[in-house]
Amino acid sequence: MRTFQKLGAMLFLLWLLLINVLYYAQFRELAVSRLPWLAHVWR
Amino acid sequence: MALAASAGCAALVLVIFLITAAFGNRVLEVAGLKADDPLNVVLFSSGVGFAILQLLLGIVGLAAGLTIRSVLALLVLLAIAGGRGWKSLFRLCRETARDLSGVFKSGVSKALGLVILFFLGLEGLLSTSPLTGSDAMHYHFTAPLLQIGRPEQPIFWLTHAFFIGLGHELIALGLVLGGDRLGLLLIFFGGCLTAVSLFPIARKWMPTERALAAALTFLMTPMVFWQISTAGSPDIWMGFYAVLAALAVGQAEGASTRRWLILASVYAGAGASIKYTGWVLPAVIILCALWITRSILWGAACSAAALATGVFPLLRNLLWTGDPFFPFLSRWMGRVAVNQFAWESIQADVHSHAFSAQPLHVLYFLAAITVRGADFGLGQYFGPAVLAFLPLLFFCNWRSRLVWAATALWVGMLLANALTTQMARFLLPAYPLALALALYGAAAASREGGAFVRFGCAATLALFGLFCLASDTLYAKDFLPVSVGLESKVAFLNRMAPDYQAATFVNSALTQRTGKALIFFRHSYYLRVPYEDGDPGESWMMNPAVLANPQSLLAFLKEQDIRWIVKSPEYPEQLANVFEECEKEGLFIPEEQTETETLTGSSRIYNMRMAVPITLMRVAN
Repeated sequence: MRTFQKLGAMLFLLWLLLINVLYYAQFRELAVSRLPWLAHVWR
Repeated sequence: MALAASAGCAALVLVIFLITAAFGNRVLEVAGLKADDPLNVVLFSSGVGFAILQLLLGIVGLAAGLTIRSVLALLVLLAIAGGRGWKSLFRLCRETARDLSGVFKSGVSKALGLVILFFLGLEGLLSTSPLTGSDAMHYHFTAPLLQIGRPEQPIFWLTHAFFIGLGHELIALGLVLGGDRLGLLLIFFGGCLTAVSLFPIARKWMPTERALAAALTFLMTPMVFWQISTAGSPDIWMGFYAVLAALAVGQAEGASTRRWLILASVYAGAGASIKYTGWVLPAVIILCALWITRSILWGAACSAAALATGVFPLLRNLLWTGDPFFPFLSRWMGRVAVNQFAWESIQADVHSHAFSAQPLHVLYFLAAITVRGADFGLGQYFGPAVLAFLPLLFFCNWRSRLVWAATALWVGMLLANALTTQMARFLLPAYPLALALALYGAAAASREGGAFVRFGCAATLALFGLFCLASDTLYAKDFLPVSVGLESKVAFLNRMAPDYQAATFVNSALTQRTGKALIFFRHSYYLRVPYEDGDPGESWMMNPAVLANPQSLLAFLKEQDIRWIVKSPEYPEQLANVFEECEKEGLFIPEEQTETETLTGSSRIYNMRMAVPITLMRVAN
């Protein structure tokens, strides 16, 4: 039971990571249009 | 001076709120509905009050016109009808203040309260800046501005004028009493009420600190920040009514409290009166009522209640066009000849560019709203919380009626959107409920799922909080100078309002001249001379199939008393030939010319500008 719980928690963390990465990645163009210096950091 | 004028408008909003809440309280007392918490009573009261106020404004607007006199008379009548409701309201406000002092006992709550105040203050300040929202300058504020002062008439040269719902009557109220600043402040107040009504829902599901965090997350979400401060769209009122409808269903736990279902239907109807897409609210609530009561009679009573508060804009459109959902049913009913170009333009306007009704695409849409938001009507501005915490909904208490009602409303709005428009922006009314449920799942999972889950949820929210702080303040930077009086209104509008320079040019050129102008730019709110929109995509009257030669065009211009053409910079493609032919034949005589600069591109946050030459031409006799 405990193993399943840990597995579920790990899967959920991976899901969160995926959503967060996909979510923030879509703002690159907007961020660079407002803060041009970001283009050097965020490629 | 700017701050003093804003404070005056804020005081007016407070007075309007007190009048509606006192009146709503009296209605609830008469109906024998008593909520379990003083804050809920205040919210339910103001919901009933605003629902009735907007309905009465709609009726008065159509029958006699909204003027200072008629609006003040209406408010005074409501204040008097509030009667004993005033006394109860002040008692409830005292009790709520006492309750809230308990809410902010802990250090975390105090800190959250301060951040909430910061965001509310920022949004409030932004909402006092002059109107610059694109859709607002096209129709949300323009149509009410054209209607006030006389009995409302159909405006066939502005396609979107038929989308005007009862939320726009609140904008009209603002325009009559205090101009666009008051109109925007009323929308901001609708956002405040939505955030406050989210709090008691969240408080039922999670500890106080987390409930405060839910309200804060709602307020700082970029979509909400934009919609309740500068956008000038009344959609947030639908969110307020949707949350109240869920709360009211949540109160109807026993057979003796079934009257709450009627109240929920009143809110659902009020939500439906804001725009066509809102009709999913009464549909869901009536299904809930049938499910709970297993009675056709209760279902019919709920339907009648929803119709009473929601049907007015449909009746008005039926009266004007023969199609209550004009133009969407005009293929089957109605007596207005629909211009194909305007129809296609409306279809493009209400569908995301990635729209597809394929079943797999609909499923893709549900996931992509958040992470591919640009394809689906700005869904990215809702933030990642709802999608990220979606798997945690299993941890919610599914025996609670409130959870079911909130989920049904959310899913109903989501599915209707997925099947019809796939425009995430239209999901604003569903967002408070979706967010509350997602955070409820996260709170329950954090309790039961161990340190990993707790860390993941906290990190996601903290990251989103930082993102909101950065993006909201960056967005606010352009508006704050005018709000606090450091920048003049004209300088601000020249910088931030699309087509403002064109409107100013037309105003100054035509002030001393008679006859209407035919314009081809979209944002006409600041025009103060008689005009009509000449874009066949925006006007039912500018039909390229009919206006196919100079003779028919001239006859149309004469019939409409249009004596001026404002070319900016070119004519719409479908009408270019006939207009250019008129120019060549000397039927349009150039009188004045200027070059303006306006915002361009998909959104003004990209700050893209272009020069637009404008020519004012006189139509030869």
